[in-house]
Amino acid sequence: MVKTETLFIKASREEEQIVVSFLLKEFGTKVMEIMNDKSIFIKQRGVKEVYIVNEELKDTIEFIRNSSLDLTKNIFLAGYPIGTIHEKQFQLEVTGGFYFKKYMEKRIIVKTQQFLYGKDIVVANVKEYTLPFKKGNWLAVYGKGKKDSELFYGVGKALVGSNELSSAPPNTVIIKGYKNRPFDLGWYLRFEK
Amino acid sequence: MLDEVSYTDVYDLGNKLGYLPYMIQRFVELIGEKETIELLKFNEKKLKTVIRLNNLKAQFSEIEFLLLQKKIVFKRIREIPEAREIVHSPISIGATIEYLNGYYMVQGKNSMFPPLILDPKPHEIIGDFAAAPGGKTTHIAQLMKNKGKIISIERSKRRCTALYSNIIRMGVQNTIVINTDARDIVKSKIKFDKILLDAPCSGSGVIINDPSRKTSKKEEDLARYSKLQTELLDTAIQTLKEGGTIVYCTCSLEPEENELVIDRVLKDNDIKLVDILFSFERGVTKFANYSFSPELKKAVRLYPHKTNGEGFFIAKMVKESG
Ligand SMILES: C[S@@+](CC[C@H](N)C(=O)[O-])C[C@H]1O[C@@H](n2cnc3c(N)ncnc32)[C@H](O)[C@@H]1O
Repeated sequence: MVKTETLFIKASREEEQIVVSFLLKEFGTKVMEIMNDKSIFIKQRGVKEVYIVNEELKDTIEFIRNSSLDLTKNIFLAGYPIGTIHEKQFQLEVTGGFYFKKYMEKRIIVKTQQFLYGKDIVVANVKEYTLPFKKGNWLAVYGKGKKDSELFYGVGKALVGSNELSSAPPNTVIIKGYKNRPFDLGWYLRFEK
Repeated sequence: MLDEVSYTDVYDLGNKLGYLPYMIQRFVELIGEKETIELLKFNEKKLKTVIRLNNLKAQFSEIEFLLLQKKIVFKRIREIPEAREIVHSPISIGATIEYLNGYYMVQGKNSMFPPLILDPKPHEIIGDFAAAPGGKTTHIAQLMKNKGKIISIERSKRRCTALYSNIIRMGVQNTIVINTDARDIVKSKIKFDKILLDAPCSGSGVIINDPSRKTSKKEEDLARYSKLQTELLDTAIQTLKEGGTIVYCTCSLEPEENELVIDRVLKDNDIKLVDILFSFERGVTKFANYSFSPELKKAVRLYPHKTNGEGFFIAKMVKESG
């Protein structure tokens, strides 16, 4: 197998556009509030991981790149990862859900914690949702604790629209769970092992 | 059980508990027989679980409320506003949804002192020269309110993974993690306001967490650690701005890894020790055939049996201007 070197570089125009148009489509124009003074960086090692980097860190990365020993190929992380680009499509991950939590207004609140174990969310698990959603929309998944405290569980793409929920059988999958992919917070525990 | 038996022979006790004899000799030289017995007994206990509340994610009061809802009983720890000792928990503290949301870090109490002593400020550039798994990087980010920047360096790629997931979980956004040998960082020409060097060490202060240390290190290994620690500290000093601060620490109790390292760099660099204002035992100025600068009294030693926590040595230094 050919060993590819890791690159940590500013996203190209095209990559930037892929990410920004996803964010605008899913979260609305308000999301630009936090994106305005940030840059998008790509860590490329086979897959393209997308990071949000503030101005100060960006300058430091460039400084490191221009020094006698370019350690940017050793950058493991800078700023905050939000997802990946695959076949010219942006794929949001749980970290991106964390980062844009405030802007993810379409939320689904579940009764059980099984999503945290990489399991599907089915109609019977849903307690409520905040705004109507369509098939293909990205949703933030929350659990409700006692006294209505809400805790973030992860993100997922709706497989059915909210208008279908009342008539769908209770075992209809709304969001698919993945054990080996970073969509739910339980992934941290699975990943550390 | 150990409390019931009155051990008069510390070597006998050390032998019974499975320590290599050289370790007991060194402890006795350092703290005397009576205290060595206390240390050995303490090492057979279990440390209290301590968490650090993360106000990058939520206010302390909100996190406390969520913990109380789960019937987790905790108490505050004097001198560390962000720390809570877990008195009782009906569930595993490292697998709650609050943990996954980064509302707290499970972390030894004494490991919170080095970042507090470093005292990073939001506008500064901080180096964390031996960073994984990131208890201290994420604490530093919290003290900086996620502003300024932290360069976290870690040589082990495998350990970078844990560092990565802790940084993300705790919501830290002001950090660059570089997977390299910290001795290489000089070539990057970055100059730091403050550096934390939580050096790789023999770990003789944390036998309570890792009983294999009773036999895993030979006396000769200490010289190898001491050499690496001195090189790392030398590098740190070179990359520090004039007037900048370094906090050097280890979780080892061995003077070769602590006072000797500091004594060497004091001789070769324009750097001076500054007082640490917490009231712990002071660094030693004599050990075996060594004698160290009297300035080493400014460094502190956190003995496990005296602090009810992990063993630590901490020294704070300032680089003098040209
Ligand atoms: C005592 S641990 C650090 C603990 C960390 N500061 C924390 O609070 O979570 C020491 C770390 O130094 C790393 N290390 C060892 N040699 C190193 C070197 N030459 N450069 C950078 N890191 C090194 C080890 O892999 C280990 O993760």
